[in-house]
Amino acid sequence: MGKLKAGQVHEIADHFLDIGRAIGDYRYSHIKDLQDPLNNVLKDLYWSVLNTADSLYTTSATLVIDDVEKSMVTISNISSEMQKTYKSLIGIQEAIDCATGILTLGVAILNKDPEAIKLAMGELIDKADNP
Amino acid sequence: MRRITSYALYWMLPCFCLVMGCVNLRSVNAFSTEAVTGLAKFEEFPFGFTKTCELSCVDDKIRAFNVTPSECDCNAEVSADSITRLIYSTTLTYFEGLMVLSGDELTEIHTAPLTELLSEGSFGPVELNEEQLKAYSQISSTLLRVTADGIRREKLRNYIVQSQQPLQVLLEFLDFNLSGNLSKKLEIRKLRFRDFYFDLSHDTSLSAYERLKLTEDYYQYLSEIETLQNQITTYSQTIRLLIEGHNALAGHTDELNNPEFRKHMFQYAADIHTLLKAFQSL
Repeated sequence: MGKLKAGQVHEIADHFLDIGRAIGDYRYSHIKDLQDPLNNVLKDLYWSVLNTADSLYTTSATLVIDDVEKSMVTISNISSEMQKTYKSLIGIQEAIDCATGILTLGVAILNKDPEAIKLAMGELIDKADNP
Repeated sequence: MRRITSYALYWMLPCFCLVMGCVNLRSVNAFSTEAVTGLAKFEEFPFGFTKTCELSCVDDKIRAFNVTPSECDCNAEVSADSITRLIYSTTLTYFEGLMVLSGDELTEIHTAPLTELLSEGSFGPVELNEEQLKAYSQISSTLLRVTADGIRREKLRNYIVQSQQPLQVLLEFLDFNLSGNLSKKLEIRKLRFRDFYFDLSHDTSLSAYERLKLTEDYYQYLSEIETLQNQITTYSQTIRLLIEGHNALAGHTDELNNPEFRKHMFQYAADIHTLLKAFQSL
């Protein structure tokens, strides 16, 4: 026999919930006619059926993993690809910023300006450290 | 002649952009931004499977007048919460990716600093005209934007189409676990309260005032649980809109510039926003 699926377990839990509700409704509407022993039996049965339904809803929620595993892997892969695309698009601006930095350094060297060289080098190092 | 060439290029580029199709992704961005905010409401749920288990365990102890310290076994509920959170995080990460990739600022490429530098610099025999440089800078910015937009548009289209079916599965099961399983567990909690208070309200050894107070307590608890259930229902409606909206998006990736379709996507974003407000008012 195959393993039950999340939806099937949920359906069974729904039946238990309906039975529990019906037991409760019966007990409340016949409370004046019920002797203590029968009242207690119905009461215990009510709680027991509801507890079973409660556990079944949890089981159904955990069984969901079987249904979503494949989809989860696919979506996670797509999200990783999105991240890569984002980085490559951001990279265009970074490359331009970097080219600007190299050019600044080049101009500073051509002009033999030690202060500007120092400044341009510092900016390039900052960009490399914080891309 | 040079000046004519620069001006010609300056005017040709917007036309080039039109021909290449610089897709306006604002409607996709609006939809995904609202999707992210809507999905993130998950974090505001004050309860989950584990919490309902712990509360039910305490209910049972109260009902049995049991004050002996004992552990509540909620391991299955911890697993149910982990799985539900995993589905939530996976879908949220996807919509965050969609939001970032469809954002305007991503393909806004600035070449102005480079142009400024070139116009100010001294490059030996090479002379660069400032006006010409500015024109070329605008041209290169636009070209880069068109190219980046093209890459982005193509990638986004593929991502949306590829993710449609698995994303639908994940959203359906996220809804199933919340509005199906978790909400039903809350329904059981309501029935437990009903039983507990029913017997107490019929206990003739209690005074009329005590029974009145108990009935008041019962309706107070009931109202608290119903507020939680209403939060789940509103969240579930948000998920339904995400499923519909993404389905529409996946089926019309060639019509992202179509005003009618964009209007449609903006409407999804507005509807999700309305539900967010409804969630906050609960």
